[in-house]
Amino acid sequence: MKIKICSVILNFILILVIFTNMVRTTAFYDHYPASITINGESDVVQLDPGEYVHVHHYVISVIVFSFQCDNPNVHVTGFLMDDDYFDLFQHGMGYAAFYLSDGPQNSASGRYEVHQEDYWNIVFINDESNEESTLFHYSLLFDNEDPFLYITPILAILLVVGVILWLFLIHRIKPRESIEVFPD
Amino acid sequence: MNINLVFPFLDPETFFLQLFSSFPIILYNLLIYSTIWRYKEEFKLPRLLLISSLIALGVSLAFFFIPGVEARNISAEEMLILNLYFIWLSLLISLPTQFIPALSLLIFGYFNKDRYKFYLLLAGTLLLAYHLISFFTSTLMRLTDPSSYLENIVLFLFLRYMIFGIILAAYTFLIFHGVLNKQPLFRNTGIIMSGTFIFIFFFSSYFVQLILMYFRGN
Repeated sequence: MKIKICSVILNFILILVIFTNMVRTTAFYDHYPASITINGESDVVQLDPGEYVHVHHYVISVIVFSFQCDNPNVHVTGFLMDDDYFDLFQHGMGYAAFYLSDGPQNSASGRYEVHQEDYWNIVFINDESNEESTLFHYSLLFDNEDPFLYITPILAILLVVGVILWLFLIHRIKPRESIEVFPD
Repeated sequence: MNINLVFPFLDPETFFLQLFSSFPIILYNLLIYSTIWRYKEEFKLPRLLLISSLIALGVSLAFFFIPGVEARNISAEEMLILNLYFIWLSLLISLPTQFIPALSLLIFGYFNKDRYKFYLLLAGTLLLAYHLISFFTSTLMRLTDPSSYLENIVLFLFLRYMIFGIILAAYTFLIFHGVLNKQPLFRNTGIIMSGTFIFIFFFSSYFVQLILMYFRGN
């Protein structure tokens, strides 16, 4: 009886943890982090003509950015937009954005204060008309950590603790004594 | 090609995808461990299943904390090498978490068939067949280019439905064993795992899409 109750409770908790996240996934569909970062993000990517790099992050007030193109003939524009405008941008429709840098530049760095605490999309695009590619180095720092940063490690630890707790509880239950299954 | 290390427990997208794929493995091994522990006085070789379940649980959980590889700007040749690496990695993960527990159930069923008939032996055989066919299907899909995958869609769909039938049959034998041998925890394990796999079969692609949409916004 005890083993049944323990199994049901732990099953319920495990399923609850997983489905809570799935429900959250549905409920907050419009706000998501594209990639998790601890203090920011830096990377080197190949930027062909017309291509862009996109970082989605929660920002309280400040973004510190820097970028540089290996090809001196390429100029990249960095800008910032909210989720709605980024959706329009992705679909090639009209959008509005805040410039991070002063127009297209080969390299730039600076600090930008957002007017509202929210998820923001930072985009670097090679849309100049010289039709050349470049290796693009960028780094971004944010004044806060992503709120999702703590959720996954906590869930991973909870999962491990849940499994250990289950095994511990199972070991407290005495194995059933052998019964005659097929009596002669 | 740019290669980055990704820690699943620090990257929500990787974490949830891994959680989704390892959840049935963790659940199955927890249930089998609990069941065998409860009836260990009634079986020969109970330690075989207890140890294999513990190993599977340990490895499944450890993979949340072991870094994975993320690659960008991949050429066709590099893609082939990466696919071979992922097949090797998948084999490395499947061996302790899927193949060994299924093989243990098969051996366990064989040693206990005199007293408990052949239900556990059949369940183990079907479970092993399921994992082997799933592994070879996913390997085939990785090595097949997408256009020929579409040409052979009927074959892949057939394999998909066949392995679904095999896994349900395996759990049905666990239910039979539990009911006929008065070991209700086997019946419960069979019912819970059948429900889990039915759910995964019909809704997994939907949830994977949802996770990807959530974290990538596409």
